Amino acid sequence: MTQLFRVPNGGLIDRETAVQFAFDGKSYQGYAGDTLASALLANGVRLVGRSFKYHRPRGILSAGAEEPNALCELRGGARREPNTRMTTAEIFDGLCANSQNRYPSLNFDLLAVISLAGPVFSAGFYYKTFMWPASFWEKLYEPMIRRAAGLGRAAPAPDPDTYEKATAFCDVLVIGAGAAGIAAALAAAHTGARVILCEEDFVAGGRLHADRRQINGYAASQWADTALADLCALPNVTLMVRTAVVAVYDGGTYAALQRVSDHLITPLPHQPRQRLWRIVAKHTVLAAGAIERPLVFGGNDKPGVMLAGSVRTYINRFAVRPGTRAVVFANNDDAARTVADLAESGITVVAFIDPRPAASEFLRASLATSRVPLITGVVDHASGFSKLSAVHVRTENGKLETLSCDLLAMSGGFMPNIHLTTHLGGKPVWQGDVAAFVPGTLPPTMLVAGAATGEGGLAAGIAQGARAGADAAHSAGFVPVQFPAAITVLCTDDDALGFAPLWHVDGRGKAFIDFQNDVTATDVKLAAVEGFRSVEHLKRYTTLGMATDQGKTANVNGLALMAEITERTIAQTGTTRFRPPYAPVAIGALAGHHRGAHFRATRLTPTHAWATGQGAVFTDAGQWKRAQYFPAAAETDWLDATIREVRSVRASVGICDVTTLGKIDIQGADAAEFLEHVYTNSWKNLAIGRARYGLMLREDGFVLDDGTTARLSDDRYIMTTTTANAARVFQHLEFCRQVLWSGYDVHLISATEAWAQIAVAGPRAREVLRKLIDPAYDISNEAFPYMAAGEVTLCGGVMGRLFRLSFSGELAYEIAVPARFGQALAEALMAAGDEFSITPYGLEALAVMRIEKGHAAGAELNGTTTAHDLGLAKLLSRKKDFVGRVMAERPALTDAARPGLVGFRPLDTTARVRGGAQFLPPTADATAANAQGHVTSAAFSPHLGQWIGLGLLTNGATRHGEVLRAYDPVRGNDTQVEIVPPVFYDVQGTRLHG
Amino acid sequence: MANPQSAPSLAAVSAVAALTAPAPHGNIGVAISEIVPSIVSLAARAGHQADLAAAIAASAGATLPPPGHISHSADLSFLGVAPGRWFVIAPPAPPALLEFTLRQALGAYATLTDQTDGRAVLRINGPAAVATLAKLVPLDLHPSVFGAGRVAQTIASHINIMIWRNGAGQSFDIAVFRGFALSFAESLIASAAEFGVSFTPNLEGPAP
Repeated sequence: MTQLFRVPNGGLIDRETAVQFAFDGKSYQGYAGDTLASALLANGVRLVGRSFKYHRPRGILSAGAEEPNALCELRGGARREPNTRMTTAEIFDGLCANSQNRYPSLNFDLLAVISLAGPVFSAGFYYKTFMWPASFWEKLYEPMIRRAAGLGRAAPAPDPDTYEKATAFCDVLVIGAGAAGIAAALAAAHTGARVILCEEDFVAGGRLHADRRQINGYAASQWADTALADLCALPNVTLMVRTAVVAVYDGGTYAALQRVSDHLITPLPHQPRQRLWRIVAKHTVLAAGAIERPLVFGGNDKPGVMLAGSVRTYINRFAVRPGTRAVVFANNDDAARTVADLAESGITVVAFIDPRPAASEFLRASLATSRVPLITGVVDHASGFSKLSAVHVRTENGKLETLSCDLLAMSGGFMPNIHLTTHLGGKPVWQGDVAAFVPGTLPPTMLVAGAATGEGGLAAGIAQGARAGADAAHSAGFVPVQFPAAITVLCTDDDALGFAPLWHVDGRGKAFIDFQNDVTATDVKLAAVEGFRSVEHLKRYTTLGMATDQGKTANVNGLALMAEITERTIAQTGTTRFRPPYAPVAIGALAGHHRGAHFRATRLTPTHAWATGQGAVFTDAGQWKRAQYFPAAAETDWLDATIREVRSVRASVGICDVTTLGKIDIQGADAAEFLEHVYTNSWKNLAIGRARYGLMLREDGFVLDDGTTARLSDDRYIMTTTTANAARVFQHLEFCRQVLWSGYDVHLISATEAWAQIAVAGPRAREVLRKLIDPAYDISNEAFPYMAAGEVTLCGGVMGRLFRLSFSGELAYEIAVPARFGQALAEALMAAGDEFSITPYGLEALAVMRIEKGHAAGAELNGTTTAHDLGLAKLLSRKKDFVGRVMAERPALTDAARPGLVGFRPLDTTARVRGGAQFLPPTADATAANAQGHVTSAAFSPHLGQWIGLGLLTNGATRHGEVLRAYDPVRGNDTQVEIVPPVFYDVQGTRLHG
Repeated sequence: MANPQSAPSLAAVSAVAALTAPAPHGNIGVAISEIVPSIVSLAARAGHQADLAAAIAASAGATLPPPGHISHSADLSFLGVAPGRWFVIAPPAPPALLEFTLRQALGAYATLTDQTDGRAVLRINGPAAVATLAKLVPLDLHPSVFGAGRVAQTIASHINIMIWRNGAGQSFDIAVFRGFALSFAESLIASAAEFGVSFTPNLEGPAP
């Protein structure tokens, strides 16, 4: 038995291409061009899911993105995608879908008993019932509620597919490729404007393929095909199907989700699953059409109750009979087309139920042609167990009449699809004559055309679209031209526009307003009784409109009922705000390529490959990857490696890549003057060929950064910054240059990446370098003393820069070469130092040695410390002005009681102290109020054979020799420490001068 | 002054040497190659804008372009990157040679800094170049907006880049800070893969 409900001819399906798919483990056949919904209907499957709260059997309500019922888990395993709308999912060979929210199976769902318990499970049920005891909430109630009431399950494993993001630009963006959208795109494109036409569906044409209409003597579907072919032939037009515009942002920027591979079993090689577009458009035409509203009556959610327009979509576009015996219930004339199409496809139409007292001429004529009786009245309720079997009609004289049927086509009128008009704050306006919210204030560059305006009519829609497209192109700077023929002479069959509101039928059974969240008319009434009169409160109390469909079919019915109950107009009641995205967007699409190792860009030093070869363990320093330590073969612990590296440097020589320190090339006649004002200390007297330590403050007087700057020539300096602050310092200096002292002749440019810079530290450093530096350069202690700097050549003419700087406290240099030679320099240094057992060292060893020397680094330069705090007050010149000088003199910043830099060592030489431990007086209670400072940096000192550290302590400079507690409740440590001066190693500094 | 016998010379290494090119499939829609032009930043000394322009005109026969635009002389391209600031691009040369040469020609009117080693430059060539770059660069690269002679500083894949159209065809050069080159090249190749991509690093790097 296959496709028993397929009409023999017609439809936009490819009958040559049969497609096998499975639903709930059972195999079916459909055709290419089917959605999962149309293929299931073709096979007579009516029951497709269970509802969110009551576990009621549900069928397919619509044929588009508004679908609240027919949700499934599409695909399996890592690709499982919950809550997928069957009405938009294209079928493909091997598709596998499962219904959701049923236990143990779709046809026999135990929790459907909830439906019988009906009145108990009304709005606010969970808030009211599961209140006590509170401890049960998290562990018991919530998991159970989540299990019972819910949607599909997320995939159990990481998504194996890729996603990407892209940007597109156009003069005119047209959203929606229905009649109005096609006309807008054609009109705009013929002016020469660059046009992007986005269509959410996989077939462009909108209702032109769903309705049997006539345009200029052609079938509407044919008109669409011709117009689209004309469009696609134009080089300035991009048609993007499977692309939903989901959000509007400032400056004509739109987010659009393109489902690149959702219609394939797996993406093609190197293709993403989905692509999130940012479309930047000068002007936009929104032609998003309208969504049909359900009618609210008892049992309106039975499988077999469908929207009247969607019934036509299934018949005309998919060549599917959605039932065998139909009743149509509508408050408008548009549904008369459904009667005609049903009759034509061989489905018996029992009656047209119309609540309006007087039928229009159009409706009478239409029903007469199909010989379908008109009953003036309403459907009181629908009945049937797991699918619709009858409707019970209350006629105008109050009689209840039962009509057996398996399909009810309903229409409560149309809701213009104005979602995107509100994203920038535009408030929808209620328009009484069409009983719909229409666009209010539009985003600045947006026009609306077609059914989205609230105005009906095919010819009017096309004309409106053409005008909007031309206007948009004109606004984007294009000269108006004659419209192309397809949208010029318009003659269509008659439009059916009659409408009278019917918001609610007070009959038997649950009457659903929000199908996806199981919100009924009774819930809305209860909310009103309990005082939730505002639509925003109504929404949150009843969850109306809060499901994944954002209440596309529900909102107006809900607030119309609220208006009726509270005796207000709908205009007074207002509507809740639509928020992006218009349709669900996978998180993966928002992340694009930036997952896993590509979560953020990494920045590699020129010696990265070499360090990898040396077995380095890397750590993140901002975006940089820096070698943390280089474990030797037998070492299993970072501390062992670090201790060995420190000892090697102190005893002989080691090398460390310091490329990551910021390097700023400062040139100009006023470069010295510039430095004089950005640094706190004196710079004008720095000789060419020398470097100096400098301290920089923020405008507010706190320390910004420190580093050394070398003078290479009369008007050229190379500044170094800390790795962490490189960008911030550069920005600060550019601000000073451009804004504070714009008259200076000085230019700055980053040279960080241009030079590979390697520290060579240890008593043997000079001997190693001597082998590489070309003989013409004298690097003896006399010729090139501590803090000397200059240009050299090495290895036979390679240009380089040599600085005699020391962070380690040893005889040390930093040697820089153009970055392309960085790796070779590291290798050459290792070869030259082989006889001295030269050792590469990483950030850990670097940190140990700077703590032993008492140098402040990131943990101390933390944005809250002053020059006084760090013991650097002597660097604050009194002879000149500099950034931060005045603010640094504020009494609170020079208060001696501020926490100042100290060193400490535990009395128990085996004890370890960690950063963050609080300094407390020995006998004081361990409370925050008693804390007098904290440990900023700690390290095991191989020199002293114990843990030591630096900290900031109130009145620190005067407390050397005191014993305090270093209290660390986070890691459970409490250690007595002696406060000492912050320099632990070579206090006189003789080694640096060696 | 240098004694080649005393120490081994240093070998240059490409910033993208570690990148393995994907196996090509089907047509090549995008050819990516590493190029190694000399790059020097150029700024006018305060009060010498006119002198600098005259010196450039006299020595190179080029006009300094406004920001976002490129001008050319026989061997040099001047990329306007900010008011009063340019990048000078020249054929591959030993380090600092371009800076040295420009300093001789422009003397006291210009501030110059060699940027050759600070940047890696990738050339993106082919019919799918624009489609590939649409995934990375948030700029309109349509010829009517970003045609021949245009340059921009922007971001791609969260990385700062400088991009310019190379000639009038479907060819673009992108300069990134050297440290980001590998990360950027990976993003570029991933974005180009669906169109068919080839990748040619300059494994020797520029001439020493």
